[in-house]
Parts: sequence; structure tokens; C-alpha cells
Amino acid sequence: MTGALLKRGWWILLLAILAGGTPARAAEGVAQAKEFFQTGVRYFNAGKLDQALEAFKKSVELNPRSAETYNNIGAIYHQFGMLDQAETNFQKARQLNPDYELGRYNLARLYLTLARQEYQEVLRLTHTPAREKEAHYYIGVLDQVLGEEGAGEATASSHAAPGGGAEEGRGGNSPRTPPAGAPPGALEAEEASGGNPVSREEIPERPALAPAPGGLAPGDTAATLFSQAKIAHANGDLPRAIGDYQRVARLRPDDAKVQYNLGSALFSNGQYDEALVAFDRSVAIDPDSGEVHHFRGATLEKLGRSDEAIAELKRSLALEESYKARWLLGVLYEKAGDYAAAVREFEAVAKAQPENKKIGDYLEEAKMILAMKGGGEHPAGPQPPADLQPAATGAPPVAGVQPPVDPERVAWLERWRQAWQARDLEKYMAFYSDAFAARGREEARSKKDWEVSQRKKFQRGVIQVGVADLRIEESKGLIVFSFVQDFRRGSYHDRGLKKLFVRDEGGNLKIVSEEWHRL
Amino acid sequence: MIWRLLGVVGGAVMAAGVVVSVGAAGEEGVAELLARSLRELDAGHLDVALTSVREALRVAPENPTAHNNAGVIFDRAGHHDVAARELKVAVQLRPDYEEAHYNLAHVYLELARQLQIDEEVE
Repeated sequence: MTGALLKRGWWILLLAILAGGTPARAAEGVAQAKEFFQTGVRYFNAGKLDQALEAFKKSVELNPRSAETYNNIGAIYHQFGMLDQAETNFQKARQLNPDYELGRYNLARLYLTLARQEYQEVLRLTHTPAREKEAHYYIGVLDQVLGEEGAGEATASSHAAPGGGAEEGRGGNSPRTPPAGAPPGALEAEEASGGNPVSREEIPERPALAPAPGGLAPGDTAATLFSQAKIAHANGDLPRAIGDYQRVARLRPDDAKVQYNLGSALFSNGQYDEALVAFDRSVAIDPDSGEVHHFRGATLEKLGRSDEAIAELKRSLALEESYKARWLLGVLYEKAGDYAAAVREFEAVAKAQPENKKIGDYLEEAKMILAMKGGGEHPAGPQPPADLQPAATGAPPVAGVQPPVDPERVAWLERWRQAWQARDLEKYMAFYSDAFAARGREEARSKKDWEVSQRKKFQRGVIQVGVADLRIEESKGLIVFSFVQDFRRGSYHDRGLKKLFVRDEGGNLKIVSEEWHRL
Repeated sequence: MIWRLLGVVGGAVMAAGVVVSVGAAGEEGVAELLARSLRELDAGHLDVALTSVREALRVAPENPTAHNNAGVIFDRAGHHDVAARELKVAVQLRPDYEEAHYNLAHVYLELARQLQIDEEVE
């Protein structure tokens, strides 16, 4: 430690000497830098951006380790529409202080502005309707995220005085800059007070990128095009993949594989009617592909033609065993209310995929419902965890009638909610069984894992947890609390369906598992 | 000043030399290298794909397609900042290069996304 400090001390001294003076002179330089910084803030607030920029530049010359100053220089360049310079300075701020929220915020907004600018170029250049539509979509989303129409133009018309300083800077496309009359330190204070950062969820998902062929070999156009289509498809660029597959299909009308891939891409893009046509063509060319029948079945299911989908999936399985097709068949049986058949299919999948945890959940749920409906015994198969197995005795509830909610159980759930919201780890963990394992979460396969994971999350700040639409069902010793959970932490918000699987352990209710699905 | 000027002139001469050599013998080779990089990218062999693109760039450093594809590979490898750099070069070399603008837009989106707080799913 001492050695490290000594080393650091040497660096400080060395930097001071390189800067042209002793440590005392360096300190003087920092003080002058602060003065220039404050001058820059005053100019900025007066709308004199050129002078503000000069002052901030002088400040950073004297104190090149100030992330705030680089941020402010970047912010002014952004307002001037000089986006490359803005990026350089925001990045410099980030290098100096990776935890500097204001710098990160401004850099993120700059990237969004640059993305918008590039989409506008795409719009100008493209002759492809799908690409044009996509660019319009992203520009629209980015305008919303950036907060005003014509965000790109607003950045370019930068010489307008910022007027209200930071307040104006927060709106629209402008980067955030020092608040009115703020001394240097006030930037941090302002940041700590909250601000309004763009949340991750506001930024649209992007499709994958488009590599370009280096040139097509003569006579191999269809093959290259097919390869390109597959790359686009694998990257999730569905409009491009579909367009390319269609072009290949015109060149190779008798290729079942091309029709199959086209159908798959259309399916993924939600174009189920068109997908069915492609799968029909593929089946007409090659009727013996189990995979194509599987996808055709999945498409029929999407189109609401469940009976045909079941028949098609059976056809697929007669040609070729596929746990995915069998899984879907089980789901369709479940939807049709045939839980016995669903359990049969899920058990077969679980047998083929013993490591797959999800199928265990499906199987367990189907079995539970079957048991609640008074269903009979089923062939032996892989069993769900002992904790989650319905007990051998106990009357199933009357189908279709919601049993009255037990106020004690509601109160127990409220105590759990309060312990979570208060981030009281000890109280919160007391609600969990030693045999706890969260479903579908690799990081929480045991109670200990869960505690470690939650401890970290509890440290991230104040949370609010809401519970609504509570249902409590019980089947043979296992109590399932289902409710809509509303979670908030700072600007983050999610809403999902939460299920707590609870059992009575010596007179105390304990959570043995839980799951959550976003709504 | 004179030294810097000479440096610029020297660079231009070198660049011109490369362009001539590609035009004379290397264009087909570059196309082949880029096609190979695409095949390797398709197969998920990013390192091999990158080697082919780098080779193409060595022969033709001002080939916008090569820079575009290098950007795609770096993006796929998770190096979005390097990807942006390559794609910027691609659009500087060919301002009407739609694919590169399109790719660059997406990389900027990704860079913005990376800067946001990584909230956990509750």
C-alpha cells in the first residue's frame, strides 16, 4: 500500500515537473483552471458559447485531468454540430472518470444523434422499401428518445443561446451542461440529484449488421445470395434475409431448402400466411422432411389452426424425432385442455433432454393442473424436484371456482413484500426454504446463491415493489401465490407475473421456488 | 514543417502505388479474400474472417467494402468502438455506401446501449 502511494506520489511529481513546474505551481494551475472553468460556465449561461469554449479549453490546458471540463467542451461542440470533436471530448471525460454519469449520459446521447444521422443517410441513399421503412422507424424512435422532432437539425443549429442553461440542455437533443451559475463542484451535485438519463429500454433493439460480398463469382449468384441471406437471417436482419431468399427462390424455384429458409424467416418476422405458403411449397418439393412439417405445424398454430397443427406435428414426429416438435405438441395439447396428452409429450421430452430445466417446469405445471383437475396416474417419467411435487393426498379444488383467499396468507405475502422493499436481507431470506431454487435462473440454484445475488441487488438503491391481482392456489401441500409484480428502482421499471411456490415447513410458510415472466 | 510536408507527399505516393498494384493484379484477389471472409463469418469463424479481411486491407487499404466487413466482424466480436472506426472509414471512402451507413447507425445504437445502466431483470 505504502509502495503504491509512493509510486503514485512519484507520478504526481513527475507530471507536475513535465507540466513545467513544482507541485506548488501545479496546485496554482489547478486553481486557475477552476477559475477558467467558472468563467466558462458564466459564458455558457450567457449564451456565449465561443467564449465559453475558449475558457473551458484554457481550463483543461491547466488541469487536463478534469472529466467535467472535457464533458463541457464536448457539450459545446455537440451544440455546434461538431460531432467528431464532441465525441473525442466525451470519450476523454469517460477515460478520466468512467463513473462520471453526466459524461456517460452525454456520450450516449451523442451516439444516438450519430445513429439518427446515419439512418438519414440510409434514407437518402436506399432504393429498398424495407430498408426505407426500417430507417423511418429508427429515426422515429430516436426522435422520441432524443426528445424532439428533427433532432439532427437541432444539433446543427447550435449557435442559438442556451438560455436557461442546463434546463434547456436537458430537453431535446442538447447535451447536458453545467447548471446556471454553477461552480465546478455543482456538476456532481446536480448529477447526484437525479437527472433524467435515457434508459436502456428506450434505445431500440438493433438488427445485426450487413456484410457486403466482395464480388460475385460468375455463375454462382444464387449460391452467394443464399449465403448472404443466411447471414442476414442468422443476424436477425429479417427484411433483408426475406428479400434475398425470395431472390434466390426465383433463381432456384425447385429448391426445398430455399423455400424452407424463406418460410422460417417469414415466420420469425410474424408473416405467418406467407410463411405457410413457403412451407407448403417446400413440402410439395420434399414431403419427407420432418423439420419442414414441424415448422409448418408451428405456423398453423400461430394462425390459430390448432387441430391442423397437431396433425402436422404428429406427421413431423412420424418422419423424424424432434424434442422441439414434441414439446410444441405438448403445448398444443395443453392449450386444448388435454393435460394427460400434454404430460405424456412433456415426459418424453424430459426423458430426451434430462438437462433441460425448462421442460421440467412445463411438465410439473401440466401435472399439477392435471392433478387439480382430478386426472389419473401417468406413466413414470423424470420427476420434478421433490420440493415441487404435489403431495399424495388432499382433495383437489373445485374446477373453475377460486377458493376464498386466506387473510393470513395475504398477510404473509405482504410481510415478504415489505422485507424485500425494505431491503432487509435477513428478514427477506427468512421467507425462503433451505431447499430453495429459483426457476430458470442459473445464478440462483440454491438458497445461498439467491442470498448472494439479492445482497448485491439490495445495495443498488431504493426499490418499490407492488403486488396486484393476487391468486392463491393450493394443491396437495404446495401453495402457489400468483400475482402481477410491479418493480421500480430509480428510473428502472418492470412488470411481470410472479409465482411463489410455497410449502408449510413446521408451521411456517417457506418459498421453495419462484419464477417471473415479463408482462 | 518541411519534414511533415514530405511525409504527406510520401504517403500519397505510397497510396498511389498500392492502388496501381491492386488495379493491375490484386482486385480479383481482394474479391476472393472478401468472399472468403464472408464464408468464414457465415460459419462463425470470426478470427479467420478477420484474417481474410485484414489481408484484403493490406492489399487494398482504401477498399470501402473491406472496411465495412471489418466493421461487421469487429461488431460481431463485441468490439463496437473498433467497428465504428472501420465503418467510419468505409463511409469516408465511399459517402454513398448505403450498407456502411446502415451498419454504422446500428453500431452507434449499440454503443449508446452499452453506456446505459445494465439493470437486472427482477
